Amino acid sequence: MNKTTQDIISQLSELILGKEEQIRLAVVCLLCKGHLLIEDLPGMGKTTLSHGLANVLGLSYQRVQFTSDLLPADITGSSVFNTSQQSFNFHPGPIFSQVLLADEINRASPKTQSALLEAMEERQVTVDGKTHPLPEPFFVIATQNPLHQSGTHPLPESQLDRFFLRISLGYPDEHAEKSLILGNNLQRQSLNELSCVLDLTALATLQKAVLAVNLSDSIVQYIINLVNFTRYSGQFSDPLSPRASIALGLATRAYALTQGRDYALPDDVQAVFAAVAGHRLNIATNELEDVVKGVFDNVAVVL
Amino acid sequence: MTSDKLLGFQTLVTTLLYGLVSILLFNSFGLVFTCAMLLIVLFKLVIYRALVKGPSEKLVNLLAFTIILVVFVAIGFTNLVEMFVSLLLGACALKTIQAKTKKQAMSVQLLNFFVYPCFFIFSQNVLSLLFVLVLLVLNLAQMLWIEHGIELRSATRQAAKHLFLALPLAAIMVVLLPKVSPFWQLPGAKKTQTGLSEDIDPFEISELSRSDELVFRAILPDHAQMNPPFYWRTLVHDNYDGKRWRVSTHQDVPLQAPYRAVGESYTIIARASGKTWLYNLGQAKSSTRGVNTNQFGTLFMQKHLSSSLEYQVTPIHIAGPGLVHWQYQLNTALPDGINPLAKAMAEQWDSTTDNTADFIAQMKQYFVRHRFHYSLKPPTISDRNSIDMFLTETREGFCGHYAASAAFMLRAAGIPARLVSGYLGGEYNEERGYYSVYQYDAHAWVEYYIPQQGWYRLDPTAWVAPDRLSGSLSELTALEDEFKDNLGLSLMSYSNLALVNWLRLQIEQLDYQWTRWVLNFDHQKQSKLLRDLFGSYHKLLPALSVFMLLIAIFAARFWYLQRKQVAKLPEPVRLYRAICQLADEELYKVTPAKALLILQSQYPNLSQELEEFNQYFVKSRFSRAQLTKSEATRMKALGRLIIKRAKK
Repeated sequence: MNKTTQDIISQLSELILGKEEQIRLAVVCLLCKGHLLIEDLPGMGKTTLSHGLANVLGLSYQRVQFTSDLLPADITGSSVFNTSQQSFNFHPGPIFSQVLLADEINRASPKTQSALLEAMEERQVTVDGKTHPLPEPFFVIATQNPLHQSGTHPLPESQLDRFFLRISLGYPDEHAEKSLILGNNLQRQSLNELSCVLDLTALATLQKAVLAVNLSDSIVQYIINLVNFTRYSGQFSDPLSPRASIALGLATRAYALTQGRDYALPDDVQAVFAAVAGHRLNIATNELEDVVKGVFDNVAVVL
Repeated sequence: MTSDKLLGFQTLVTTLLYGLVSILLFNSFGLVFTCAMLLIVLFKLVIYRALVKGPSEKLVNLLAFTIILVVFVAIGFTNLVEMFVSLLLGACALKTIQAKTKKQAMSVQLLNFFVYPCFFIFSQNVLSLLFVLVLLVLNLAQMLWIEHGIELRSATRQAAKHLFLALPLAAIMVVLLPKVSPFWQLPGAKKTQTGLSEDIDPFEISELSRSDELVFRAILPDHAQMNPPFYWRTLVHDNYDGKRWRVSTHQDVPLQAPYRAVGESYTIIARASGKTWLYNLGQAKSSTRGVNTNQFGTLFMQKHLSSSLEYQVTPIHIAGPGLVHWQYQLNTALPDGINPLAKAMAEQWDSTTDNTADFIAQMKQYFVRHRFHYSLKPPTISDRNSIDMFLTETREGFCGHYAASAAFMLRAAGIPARLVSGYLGGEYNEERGYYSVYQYDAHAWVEYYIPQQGWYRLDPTAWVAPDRLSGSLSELTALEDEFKDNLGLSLMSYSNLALVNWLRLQIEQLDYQWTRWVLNFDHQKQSKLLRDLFGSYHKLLPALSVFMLLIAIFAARFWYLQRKQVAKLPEPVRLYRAICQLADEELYKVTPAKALLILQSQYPNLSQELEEFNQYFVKSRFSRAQLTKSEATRMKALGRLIIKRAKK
């Protein structure tokens, strides 16, 4: 099992250089059946990562570029009148795929954002009073530009909460960037050459294995202490909800699994904490590192 | 063993102890109650052996009613203290029979903290102290046994250890805490009659019941002019009715006449006797509160002596006005028509002599010539003319016989005479320099009056058994067998065995110290001790000690809580924390993996060991699998090794 996750990560690492930690978190998100939010400037490799992930996992992939004039029906699909049959036929939109890349989600109008996020939560789409279930697995990777860019509609907190993790790729280091310039990585043209390492049953087994990872009492207590710190220290305007606690526990387990362990460590909690809590605490990506360090310095590791 | 059976056994131990206590207090409770208690013990034994079923509620109630009746009838309301103690004992014993649950058994054990110390009401010597201590340790152990199922042997060890730990606290409390006299005191238990009695009729007694019970101890000044024989005057009998010598009606009347002190004071530590009378040499007064002198120069108390008492005695000389008419009458009074032979003899001697001394010499000659014999087991004389019979026929008796006869003859010759009872001699303790006087030292002698001079002592027993004067009765070789026969089973009977005698003297010494320094540790002694120890601050100390004690208790409590929390941490975490202490920075908030890196960079030579330790630690704390025994041992060893090497 360790080998499978390791395989996915190493495959993707050849694609996006020097971002192993972010790739690992993306895999964690997938193992937890959660949706991923990638926040970055344009050209950082968001799309590459999501596309690569879909390919490696052997999942069907759709990409929707969100624009300000995008309508809900453009993603969910709509009923079209079939003249030969004298009836309305449902034409599914791009959302009916296993991996959906919602590019620049904060460019769309709130109405469209809501339609997508609702579908993410319900895992079904209702059009003209008829309910259409979404495929299984259903994994949304949304990317968004940092909020200070013009022409963006920031997602409300309640909807941010629907995303399991938020990660940010950031600039590559010097060595990685050199390789990128020289074209040493596979890059776009060979995206389709990525070998599929996982089928659907293997993914289901992996997702089940996450729940079997041991979360010892002390780890649970550590998570509770961390969450309570955001609630009672008075430093946060949007403290973590119980849903966040659950997500933290789950992500910790999955992260331990990707490390090849069947038990979680405090390090696992710390590794996923920024990704799980960052957007829920409503902290900008560039401030996140300092804030998280402050939390860790204030909350003792429970042994 | 089933739980019922085990509980039965646990309560049986308590019942047996009750049986033992009631046997030891036989003298106070009497035959009937002791038998009743032993029957209860027997009943409990029979139930335990499963020969009969446990009693129904009705039967227990009936038994309780019977016990109450037995106590009321056999002990009665005149002995209130004995009555209540026996009721308590009986009730507890019945409860052990009835107890069916742990809770009931525990309630009996809790009650025992009241029942067992009741033993002190009846006896306060060092042996009783040890006995009660043993009982209390056993009681604590039984509680552990019943409540937690700890095996009795280890429970006893545990309980004894805890009691031992409590001793310093007890000592501090005794020494430092202010002595406050009690607001209310239990009336002391009445003692059964041994030794002296208020009425003397020697001729009815065939065998002096003698015991080796301690009466008092006397600490005489070293260089005093006081020399043996020591006649400890206690009771004056001046009221003769032809049969009995009754104690004087003036025994409890304080002295009115003037007196002057003659000689040095000495100390007497009297044992609880349940009586009002005390002991002194010659005529004396006391500076101790509650101790009075009567007109005979003997000491007495207003209330009964229910606990040990230490008092100072100063010898005095009472300058009385001589005998007034009624006193003369009283001290020469003889009923008519009894002992005609003795009377005739006395009148004859009186006519042939011209002073009292010659008369006494005549009397002495008579006793010596007719080979009178000292015996502790004289034949009884129930005749009306008992003195005649004694003087002419049996010629065998103990001090009472001789004193009564001599006093009778003195009175017959018109010389004022009275009987005095008290103690003669005492056993001298070489090491500590005190005298111990036992019940078997009880003695009776005569005092006669010479006009213009006063009262003189006359001990006719000395004519017959001159050895009796030289020391305690126990040292008298001639009477050894007879004396020991009378004592029955006691250490004294075997005092010719060196080891037994040594042991007896050691216990005796311990008891002396116990009585002197613990039982009679009063306000005076306390302030003296504190002054000696702490100089001028001693007055602040008792008050300060209360605060100190409170602070100490709180501190101990907090320490205990603290200690408990540390102890709550599992062993691996404690070890891990200890290792983290080795780092220069604070590793408290860092994950083990990061801590490992930091430690490894600080102690590169230990990085292998640190890594291995960390593996075990992580496994023990976070993994579902437990460490195997060997892994746990390895981890402990690694931890110690790391700490040891790092500190180098």
